[in-house]
Amino acid sequence: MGTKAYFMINMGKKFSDDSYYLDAIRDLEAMPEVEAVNQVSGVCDLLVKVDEPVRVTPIANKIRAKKWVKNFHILNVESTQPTETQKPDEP
Amino acid sequence: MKYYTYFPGCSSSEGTAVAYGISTLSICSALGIELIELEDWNCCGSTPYGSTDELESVCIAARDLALAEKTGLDLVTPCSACYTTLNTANSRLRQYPDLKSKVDDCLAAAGLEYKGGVRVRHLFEVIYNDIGLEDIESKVVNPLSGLRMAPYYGCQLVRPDPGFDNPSNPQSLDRLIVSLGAELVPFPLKDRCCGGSLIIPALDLALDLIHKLLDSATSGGAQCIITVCPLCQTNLDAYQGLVNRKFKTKYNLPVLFFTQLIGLALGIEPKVLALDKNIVSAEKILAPFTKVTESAS
Amino acid sequence: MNTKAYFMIKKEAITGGDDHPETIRELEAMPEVESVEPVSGEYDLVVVADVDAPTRIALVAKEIQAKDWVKDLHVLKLEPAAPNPFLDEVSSIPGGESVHWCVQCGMCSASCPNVHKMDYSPRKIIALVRAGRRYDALTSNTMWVCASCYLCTVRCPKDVKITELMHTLECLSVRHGLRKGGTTPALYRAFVDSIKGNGRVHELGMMMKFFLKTNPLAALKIISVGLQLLSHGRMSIKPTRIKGAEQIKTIVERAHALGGTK
Repeated sequence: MGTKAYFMINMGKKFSDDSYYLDAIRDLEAMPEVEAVNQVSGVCDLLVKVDEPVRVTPIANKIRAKKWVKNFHILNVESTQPTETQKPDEP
Repeated sequence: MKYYTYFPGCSSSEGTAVAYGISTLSICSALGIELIELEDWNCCGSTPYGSTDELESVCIAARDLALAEKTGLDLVTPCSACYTTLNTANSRLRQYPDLKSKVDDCLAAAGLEYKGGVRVRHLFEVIYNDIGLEDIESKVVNPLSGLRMAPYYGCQLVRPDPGFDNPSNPQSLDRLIVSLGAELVPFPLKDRCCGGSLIIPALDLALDLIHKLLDSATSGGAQCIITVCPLCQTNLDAYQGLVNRKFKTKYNLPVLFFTQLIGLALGIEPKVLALDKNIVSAEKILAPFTKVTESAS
Repeated sequence: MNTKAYFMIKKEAITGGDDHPETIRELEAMPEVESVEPVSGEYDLVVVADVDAPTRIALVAKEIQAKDWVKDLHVLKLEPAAPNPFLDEVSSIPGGESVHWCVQCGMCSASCPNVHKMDYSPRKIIALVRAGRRYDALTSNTMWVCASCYLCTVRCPKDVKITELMHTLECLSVRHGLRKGGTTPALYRAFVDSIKGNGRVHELGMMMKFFLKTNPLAALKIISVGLQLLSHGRMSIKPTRIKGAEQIKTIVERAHALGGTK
């Protein structure tokens, strides 16, 4: 449990061949905060799901600093807990 | 007269199965076929080359196919390994155009061309289908009555190409035995492996397989085994002594080529059929039949 | 084979209230939608879709985009889980592509006469290839123990060309210099050298070369056989050289230059 987020990452053009992908994916998967890494095609190249206690900023900064990251977007996953009121205590 | 281009293969032309080559040529005229040897043929490559380089192996087989194409006749081989290798090369060239263009390139470098039109056939299949058992039966002058034979197909005549006979329970060789007047014995391992070329690098492995085959044939009551492959014959014949030594058995089962037995039934002399080349001698069991041919000549 | 995709959805600006639960419920009701997560940032919702054919992704995306609360939708198609260059290599060789069809039934292993001597059974080596385990597959003895009897091939319910796969693995093992220091590769090498030199296989020469290179003492085991074959005229002393031996050399050199079947 903790804070979950999606990182949408675009890789720099010169890093976009298979061998770099493999290294990048392995690199990310090795991080304990990273829950899943998916190589995708579309508006971004990698979709990473992370799970960090409290805030995702530390892991985001770690990944953003990597040389193959060109663009980086964070999508913070919001809680989907229903906001019903608690049952009153039994007298 | 039926004409074919003949591809003997290394083993049957001057190797351990030279008796196969000799007996094949000796029964031709009696059967009404003429086998014209492919000029300057090269080794087909067989399993060893196919397990070394997938392009080179198809190329060298394609050289034989290119030479054979010029004759305009079917390419016939008595060797099951050559049959499978040349057939596989042929079908690969048909199925994979990228491979064909590379092979064409290599052949062209040597001044050769293969358009893809050769039909590769096994000698046994040619005799079975083009001549037919009925025809052979009508020509039998020396029926091998009472000679108990186990039909040994080996692997590569009926597999992997299922076109000729049933790959799991072939019957063609069984029927030939009956046509020659001989007695067919049950042989459940008739299409199982003798070890092939593994006899050299993996002797014990192959001896185990050969032992199983000899055991099965003997249990069925066979006096001899009839084969369609040069490697099978060598393995079962020349290595029978080693099987006996390893397993403390006393097998004494002559292993003959189907061409030798056809020849005998058709009244051809044993000497001409290279029967003296067998390590496990067939002299005793064939005595009732060879006396007939000797007295007739 | 299921195809997964991510849909990144931007919703129309909402005035007051939080209608996430409703939109989430609406999306979750769709059969292809596996999960929906509300996010904050560039997008508002991340949807995971699981479809049975890649062409359906566009259709599902269109369906969602048609909803009036969807402002923008971007599709992220999942690329194959992890690149598998070994599997690609095997599949690209003629005869190797059938490795994809295997359902691991084990019929091949059950049929193989030599399976007890293999590091990995035929079924297992196929699994290794598909798992991309190049080193384990190519250093095993499995394919070298194969006798090419084709029983596996004929019995396979999915028409996988197992014997041909064994030959492919042998070729790759040789090419990558990973062939196990066993006797079978050495024999095949001697066989091929004989062809490259003379165009034919000279059995006696080949066997001598083989035993000298591997274990001369092993020749003693079959010396009795050799002598019998020799005395029965079944072993030619001198090799035959075909006229076209030079053609063979040219062909092999050219094939080498072309670098294989890929």
